[in-house]
Amino acid sequence: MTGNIRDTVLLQYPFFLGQSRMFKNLLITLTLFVFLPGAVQARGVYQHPDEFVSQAFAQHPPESHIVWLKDELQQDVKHILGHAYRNRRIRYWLKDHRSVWVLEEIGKKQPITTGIIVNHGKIESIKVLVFRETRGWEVKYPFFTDQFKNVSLVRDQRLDKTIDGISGATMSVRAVKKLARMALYLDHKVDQP
Amino acid sequence: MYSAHTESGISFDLALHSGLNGPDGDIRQSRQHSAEAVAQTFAYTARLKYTGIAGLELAASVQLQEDMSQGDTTPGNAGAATLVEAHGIYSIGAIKLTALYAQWDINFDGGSNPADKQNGGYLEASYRINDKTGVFARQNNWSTTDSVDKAQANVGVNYWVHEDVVFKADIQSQNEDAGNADGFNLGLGYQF
Repeated sequence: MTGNIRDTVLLQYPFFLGQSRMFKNLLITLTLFVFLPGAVQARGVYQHPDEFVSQAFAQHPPESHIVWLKDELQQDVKHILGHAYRNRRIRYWLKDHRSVWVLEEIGKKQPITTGIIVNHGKIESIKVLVFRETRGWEVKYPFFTDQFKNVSLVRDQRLDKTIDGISGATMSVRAVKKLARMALYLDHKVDQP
Repeated sequence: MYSAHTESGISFDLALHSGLNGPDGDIRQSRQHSAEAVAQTFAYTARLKYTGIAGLELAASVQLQEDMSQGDTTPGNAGAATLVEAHGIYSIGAIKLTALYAQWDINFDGGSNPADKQNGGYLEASYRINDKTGVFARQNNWSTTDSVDKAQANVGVNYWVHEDVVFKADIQSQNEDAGNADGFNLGLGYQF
């Protein structure tokens, strides 16, 4: 035998046929599980951003506005994220002290697109709209995002409540928390009395 | 490797990979370097995990090694082996509790061997004092051969200089079977 992977796979194929009934049964069971309805991949578009915005305003979103990240805003957002935001120009929707933001922050390697609704300076809801990584998808679950309801900012642009993390999703959790802070901060800046 | 999950918080992973290479059954010494791994035989791993409740992770894994001797048929060598593992993690606020248990069953050519059953586990509790500091305590117990039960306790502190960089320091105490290697450890962690 040469020991390389190709030869090994061909020569060892009989293994599947008879040598490990336990693992073969387990493999079959899990393979069936793959095709059961409801088995999904981690990556995906959970909701299109345009649909999120429309839904937030009962299908009648107001005209969007733009906030430019420059000077103080740029520095404060950089402080929140730990780095400059990818865009200098951020679109938002505002009506009756209720603002809607679609922001992105990298979890481990890929950006997580998140929709955030801020109502009178407090988070009304957060939703992960697009998830592009293979790990950390648990942040999309309501058990995690519901923690942000009624959260606001305190000094140093920090959240006024501790958000419980998710084991194995540390970076995704951190990204969503940062976006929550950023949305609350920007809402405070654009929704001036 | 293949991974998928359901909307109820159940996920599973399947992996086909190079196996261990250790005819004497020493798990730690049997690990291979990926690029230099002898691949006469493979290993297969399956994991089932549940994360459908805030702060909770429950998981179990099974790994099958086709042949720990990678085709070496010397009498007395380790052959097929199975690893089963289960763990639970629960985080609430600044507190995190972890429990893990794992067991190897190794088939040796020629019959029983003191190393044919190896098991171990640990219990850990940690507390995140603030963004910069945390403390932890861990009790480890493991056995790699018959009638030898090793134990080690660690108590330590973590200091995050950056959200991705942590300095770690802990003291450890071992029982006689583990070698009585009491002392301290210093470490640096970086996630990327």
